[in-house]
Amino acid sequence: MGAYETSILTLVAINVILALSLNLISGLCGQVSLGHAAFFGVGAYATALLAKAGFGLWLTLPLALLAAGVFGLVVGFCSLRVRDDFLAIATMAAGFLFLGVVRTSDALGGELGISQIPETALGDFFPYFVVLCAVAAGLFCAWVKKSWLGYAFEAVAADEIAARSLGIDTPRFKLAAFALGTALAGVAGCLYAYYLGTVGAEAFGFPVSVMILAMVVIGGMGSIWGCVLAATLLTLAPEWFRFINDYKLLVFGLLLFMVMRFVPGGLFPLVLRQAARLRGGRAA
Amino acid sequence: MNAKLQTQAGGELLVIDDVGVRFGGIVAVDGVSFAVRDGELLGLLGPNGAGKTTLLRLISGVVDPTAGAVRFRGETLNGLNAARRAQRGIALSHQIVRPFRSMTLLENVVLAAGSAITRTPWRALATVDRRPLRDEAMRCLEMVGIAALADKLPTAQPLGVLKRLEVARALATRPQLLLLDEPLAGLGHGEALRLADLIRSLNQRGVTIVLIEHNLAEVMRICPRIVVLNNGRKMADGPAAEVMADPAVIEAYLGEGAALAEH
Repeated sequence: MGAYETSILTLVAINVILALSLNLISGLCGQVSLGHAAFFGVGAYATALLAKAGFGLWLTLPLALLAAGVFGLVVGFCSLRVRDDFLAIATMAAGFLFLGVVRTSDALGGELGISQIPETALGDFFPYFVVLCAVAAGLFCAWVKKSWLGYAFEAVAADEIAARSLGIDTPRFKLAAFALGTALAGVAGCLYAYYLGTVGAEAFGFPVSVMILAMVVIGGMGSIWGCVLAATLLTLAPEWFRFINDYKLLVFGLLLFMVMRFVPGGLFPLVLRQAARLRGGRAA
Repeated sequence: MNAKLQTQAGGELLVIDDVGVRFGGIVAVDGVSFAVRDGELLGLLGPNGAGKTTLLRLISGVVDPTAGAVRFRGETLNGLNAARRAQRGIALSHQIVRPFRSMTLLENVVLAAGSAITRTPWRALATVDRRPLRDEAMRCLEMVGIAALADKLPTAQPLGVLKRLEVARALATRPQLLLLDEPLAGLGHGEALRLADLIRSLNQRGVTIVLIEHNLAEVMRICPRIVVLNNGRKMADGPAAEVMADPAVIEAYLGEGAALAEH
C-alpha cells in the first residue's frame, strides 16, 4: 500500500471508531447527541498535551479514553432530565461549550491549536494499530449489543417508563451509554491526534458532530456493520469526489434527510433485506 | 372497620399513610390512608378523576407524595424511584399498554424475568446468555394464555393480547405486590371474564394485588375488599358487598354502574 492508501485507511478506521462510539449512545440506547465531536476533541487535545509532555501512546491512549469518558459522564449527568430534541440541543450546547473553551484557552493553543505532536513509537505499524483498535471497538460494541446491557438499552430506547417499571434504573443505563460511548470517542480522538500530528478547534466543530450522526443514521441506528459501512462511505466520498469536500455539511445533511425520509431503518438493514430477497428469489 | 380488617390477618404488606399529592393548585390525592395485607386482592374504585391512577403511581414511584408516606414491608418508599421500587417487588401493569415494539412477546417477558441482571449496567454487560430465563418467561406467557404467540412482534397483536402481555411482564419480575391499572379496559366480555379469572387465580397463588377497574361486575366478582376514592379522598373501605350497598357510594359516585352490577 502506498502512503496515500494507508493514510485513507487510517482515517476510515478512526471514523469507524467514532461512528461506533456514537452508535452506543444513539443507536443502541436511543439518546440523540449532536455534540459528539466534543468528546472526540477531548481525547485529541488530551493526547496532544500529554504527548508533547513526553508521554507515549501506552499512557496517552488510556488517559484520552478516561478524560473523554469523564467529560461524557458529566455532560450525560447534566442531560439526564431532558430527552429527544431537548437532549440533542443540550449535547449541542456541550459541543459549543467545548469549542468556546478550546478557542479562548492559551494552554490549548487557542485558534492555532497544538501542532508538532510527536509520533508514536509504532512507526510504520501505526495505521495497522488504528485498524486493530477499530476491530477491537467493533468487537466490544458487538458484545455490548449481544449482552443484557444492549437488551436493556433497547428497552430504554423504546420506552423509558416501561423499562423503569421492570426495575431498569434508566438514568444509570443512560449514563453507562454516555460513559462508554464518549470514552470510545476519546480513543478515536487520541488516534486522530497522532495521525494528523496537529489538533485544532475546527476539527471538532458542529459539522463533525453532524457527520458522525449522519454515519450512524445512514448506516442504520444500532447496526454495527452499518456503522462500518457508512463511516467508510462517508470518509471515502469526499476523497473520491473532491468537490464534495467544499459542501460536506450540505451533502451529509442531504444524505441524512434522504435516509430518514426514504430508508428510516438505514442502509445496512436495507442491504440485508435485499440480500435475503435475492436469496429467497433464487430458492423459489 | 379499618382496624377490624387489619387485625384479621397477619402482615401488612403495604401501608398508605395519610398520603396527599398536589399538581400545582390541584389536589389529586388528599389524606388517603389504608393498608393492604399480604395475600389480599383489593379493588380500587371511583369515578374518573378520583385519583385512582395517581394513587397507583404514588405506590409505584412515578409520582412522589407531597404529604404522608407509602411504606412497603415496613420500609418507607418516599424518594425511591420507580426502578428501585420495582426491584423491591412492586410491579405495575400499565393502563395504556407499553410493549417494547422491537422485541417479540417472549423477549419482552425475558427482559422482565432478568430484572436481577439489569439491576446494574455492569452486571448486564457481563451477562450474555438469555436462554436460562426463556423457560420462566414462557411459563408467564402460558399463565396469561398467550404462549402460542411467543415469537410474534407486539405490533400486529390485538389489544387483548397486549393487555395480557402487560400482566405477563409484570409477573415475570416475581412481584410481591402487583398493581393492575384497568387491565380489563377495552376487552370484550369473554376476554374480560378470562383475564379476571386469571387475576383471581394469581392471587390464590399468593400474589398480593391492587386492582383499578371500571368493570364493576368483574370487580364485585373477584375482589373481596374494595376501597372507593372520590375527589382524591377515601370515601369507603370494606368488604365488597358492604361497600357496594352503601347508599352514598351508589348514589353519589357510581350511579347507574352500581345499579347495573346489582342485576
